[in-house]
Amino acid sequence: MTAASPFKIALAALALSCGSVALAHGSMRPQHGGMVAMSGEVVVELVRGPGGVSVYATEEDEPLAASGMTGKLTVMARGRKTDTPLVPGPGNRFDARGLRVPPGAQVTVALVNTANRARTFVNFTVR
Amino acid sequence: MKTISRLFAASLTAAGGIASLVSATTAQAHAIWFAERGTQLALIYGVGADDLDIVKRLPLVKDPAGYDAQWQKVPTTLRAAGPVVVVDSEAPITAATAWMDYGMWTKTPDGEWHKKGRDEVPTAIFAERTMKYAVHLEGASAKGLPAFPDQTLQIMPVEDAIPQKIGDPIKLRVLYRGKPVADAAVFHDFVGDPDQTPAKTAADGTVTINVRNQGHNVIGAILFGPSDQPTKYDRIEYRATLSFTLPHLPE
Repeated sequence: MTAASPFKIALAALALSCGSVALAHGSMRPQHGGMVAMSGEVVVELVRGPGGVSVYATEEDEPLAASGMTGKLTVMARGRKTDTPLVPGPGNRFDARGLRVPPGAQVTVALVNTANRARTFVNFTVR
Repeated sequence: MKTISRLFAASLTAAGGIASLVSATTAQAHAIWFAERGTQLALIYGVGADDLDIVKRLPLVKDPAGYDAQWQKVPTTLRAAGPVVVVDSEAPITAATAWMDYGMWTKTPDGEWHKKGRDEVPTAIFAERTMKYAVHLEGASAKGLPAFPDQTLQIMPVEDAIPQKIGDPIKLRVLYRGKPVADAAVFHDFVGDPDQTPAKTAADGTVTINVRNQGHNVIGAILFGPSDQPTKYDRIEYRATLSFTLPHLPE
C-alpha cells in the first residue's frame, strides 16, 4: 500500500464536499414568501395572502403542473377541521381563494396526480 | 407457493390455550407487509426479497384501514396500480392495517401442497390454514397504538417511542387475540434476513430485538394455533408483520 498523494487526497476531499450538493433534491427556500415543507421529493410552498391561500408544488426544482393534479387543503384550527378544494392555477400554482388560515393552524396539503392517482400529503403548522 | 421454511416451521409452543404443534414443514412462508413503492405506501406479499403478485391476491385481503394520530379511522382503500397494490387514504395516516385469509393447504405424501382442505384430499398427511396480518406505523411514535380487533396476531412496540437508530434495542409484545402470547417466533427482518433463527416471546409476550435497518424495517411473528375445523386442517398458522421506517441523514 502506498501513501496517497496530496492530489488524490484533495480529490477525495472535493468529492466528499460535493456529496451533499449532488444529493440535494431541490431548494427548500420559499420562492413566493410562504412556508415550505417536503414529502418525499415534492416541495410544497404554502402562501397566505389577502385574497386567500396559494400552494406551489415542485419536484427537484421543477414545477409540477397543477393541471395534472387535484388538491385539497385541510385546516385544523380552534378545534375545527375544514376541507377546501384547491383550484389548479397557472403553472404549478393552486388556489383556495378567500380562505383564511389563522396562526397556529395545522394545515395539510393533499395533492392527487390525476394520471396515476399517486397521493402526496404535506403538513404545515402555520406560524 | 410451496416454499418450505424450516426455520419458520420450528416447533412453537404457545401459552394461553394455544396448542404445541410440531412440524418440519409449512405450506408456505409468505407474509404481507407495508412498504413504500413509488412514493406511495403499498401492501406487499412475499418473503425476503421476493415481492410476489399481490394484485391477484388482492381479493383475499380484508379490512384495509388507515388511522390518524388519534387512532381514528381515515377512509382508506387498497388499489391495484400496475403490479403494485397501493394504499389510498383521504388524509395522512399514522398507521395502516390489513389482513389476509390465505386459506387451506393440504400436503400429500409426494410432498405437494394442494389448495384444499384435508377432507378433499384422500391421501392428505397434513393440512393447515394460513392467516396473515400487517400493521404499519408512520413516524417515530407508537403512542396509543391499540390492539386492533381484526389483527388476531399483532406485534406491538412496548415503548411509545420507536428507536431511531440502527442497532438500538426495541422491546416488542406479541398479542394473540389481544392478549400477550408466549413462544411466538419473532423475526427481526422479514425482508432482509428471512432465514434467521427467530427469537421467542417470554411469558408476558415480550421480546427484545435490535432494530435491523436504518431504513425500512419489517418485523415478523409467527404462531401456530389449534384447528377450529379439524376435518379440514390440523392447525392455523398466524403470521404478522410490523413495519416502520427509520429516517436517513438529511440530504
